[in-house]
Amino acid sequence: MISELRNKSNQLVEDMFEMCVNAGDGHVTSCLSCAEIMTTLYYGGFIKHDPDNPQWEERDRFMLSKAQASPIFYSLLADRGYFNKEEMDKFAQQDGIFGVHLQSDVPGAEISAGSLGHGFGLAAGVALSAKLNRELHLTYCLLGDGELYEGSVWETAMFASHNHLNNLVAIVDRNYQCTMDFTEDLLELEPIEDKWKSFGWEVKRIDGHDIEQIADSLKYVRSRRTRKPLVIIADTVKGQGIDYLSCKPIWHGGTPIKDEDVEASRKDLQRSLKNG
Amino acid sequence: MGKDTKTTILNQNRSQRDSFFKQIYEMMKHDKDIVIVVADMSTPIFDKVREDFPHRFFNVGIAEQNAILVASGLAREGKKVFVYAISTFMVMRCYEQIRVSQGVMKLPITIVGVGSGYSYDDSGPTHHMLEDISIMRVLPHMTIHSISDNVMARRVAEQSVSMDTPNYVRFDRHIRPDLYTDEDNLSNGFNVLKEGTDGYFISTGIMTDEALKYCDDKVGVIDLHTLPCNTDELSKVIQDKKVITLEEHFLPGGLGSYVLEIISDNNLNTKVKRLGLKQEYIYRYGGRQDNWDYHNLNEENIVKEKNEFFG
Repeated sequence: MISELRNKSNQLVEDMFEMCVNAGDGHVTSCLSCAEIMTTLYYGGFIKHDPDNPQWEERDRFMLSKAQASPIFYSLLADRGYFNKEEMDKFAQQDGIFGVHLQSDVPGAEISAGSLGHGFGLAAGVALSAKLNRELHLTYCLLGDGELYEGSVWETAMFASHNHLNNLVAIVDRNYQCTMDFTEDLLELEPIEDKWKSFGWEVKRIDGHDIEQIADSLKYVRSRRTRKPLVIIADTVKGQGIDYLSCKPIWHGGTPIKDEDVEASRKDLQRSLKNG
Repeated sequence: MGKDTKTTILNQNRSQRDSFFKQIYEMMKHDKDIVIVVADMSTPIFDKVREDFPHRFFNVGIAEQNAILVASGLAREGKKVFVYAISTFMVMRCYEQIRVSQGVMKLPITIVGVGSGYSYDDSGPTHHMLEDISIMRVLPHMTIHSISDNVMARRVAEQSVSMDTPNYVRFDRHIRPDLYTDEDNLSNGFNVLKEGTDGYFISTGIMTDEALKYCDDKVGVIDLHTLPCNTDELSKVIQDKKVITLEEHFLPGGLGSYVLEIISDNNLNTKVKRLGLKQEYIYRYGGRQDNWDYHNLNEENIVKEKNEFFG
């Protein structure tokens, strides 16, 4: 199971990378930090969904609040059959159906996002609606760690715990980088677990590239005996798998365009995929 | 406490917001999808709402951004949500949340703001709502209901529950006489309250009540209460006439600008004079009328402008 998920994650990363290179667009490094998380959610049986019926009422809702990672999500949705894979060739092109950020009318996307903090607040509203309707589905929300600088995130965090939204699962892609700098240099986010705990959340911290740890953190997500919402802080590397791009703020929001950058990145990616 | 504030508090059961939410409360009895989200702002009827429907009333605290987002998430799942706070905070603190959730995603919530213009006359510019028509009407899909009286407040409440597009309802805080009855047709988004042979005041909110004091047989009154309104019908009424727009709002982008756009877009032969507020934020404590005096938005100047413009 774990090795299957690893292979799938590798494939999605490759799909995403080639899609972005083809378009010369997309936040590649932000996608690389959350590839295993998204793969485990959608291929590890943690998200109930039906690609043939994207609006299935009993589906779990997945809100990609860090919408700059949409390319990996679109690659995943294509792979799961939400739309034809040929759409990926038209990523961020004039005749395409999706671009750099998230668009709610793309099958499986749920929301439009790109303005940080929004998806998380919407997720709390969706989770609250499920409570009011006594529906059993979960609402997942993937946030970036830079997103935690948005004040509205903490408004929502306070609201969710006060209203016992234990059907809300937030995952923070803790890649330690923003646009210009590393988080702990520009404005400390740590102690990040204490912050969430003090806002009334159950907190887990894992290695966000270790599929076994991701799966373990989600194992009993439907049968938690607590009224607290759950947040999983997933430590990751921005640009994981492509040393040429990783941990370099200059590559935030970028896709390799020059031949030399594409080749160096592809070489790194192939090497890391081969090594598992 | 300012004298206007004192009167308002003593009469709050008769305010526009209370008429509105009394109607919402009645509809909550039969419609389980209605939910109220407030950013720590009350009105007397909420005591009943909280008692009878405790699971459909949420105070998110003084957190307007989250109020809009939670409301939008609820709307995403089919709930009919009313979000409520003082106008300046309800539309400006969270403007970008509204832009994305309502403008981009078209999620149909009703944003209810109390405090149009100088409703909070003694509270200073943080509470003076002088830009909302301008910034809300620029958003795609947004309807603005600028409430003129309690009858309209109640009727707009009924209408809002069934709207499937974003909706902004702006209330005055002061108590003024009713201008409408249940029989009046509000569907054009404007009503001619007094016919004029030569032209009209076009006003909104509390200024309509003011315009009615200064009108005569030559210069009538149009209450423009819904933006966008039925522009074809309005064009018929104001074609070949003169119009003075009257608003307790900054001029750029406001009611007068809207009327000018209609005239230009429809090639109307209509001359316009815009009266509104100087673009200044003020701290004054003499009541609302005193604020209007400062801006020359008072009887003396309005009548003077009318006489000069209409001859």
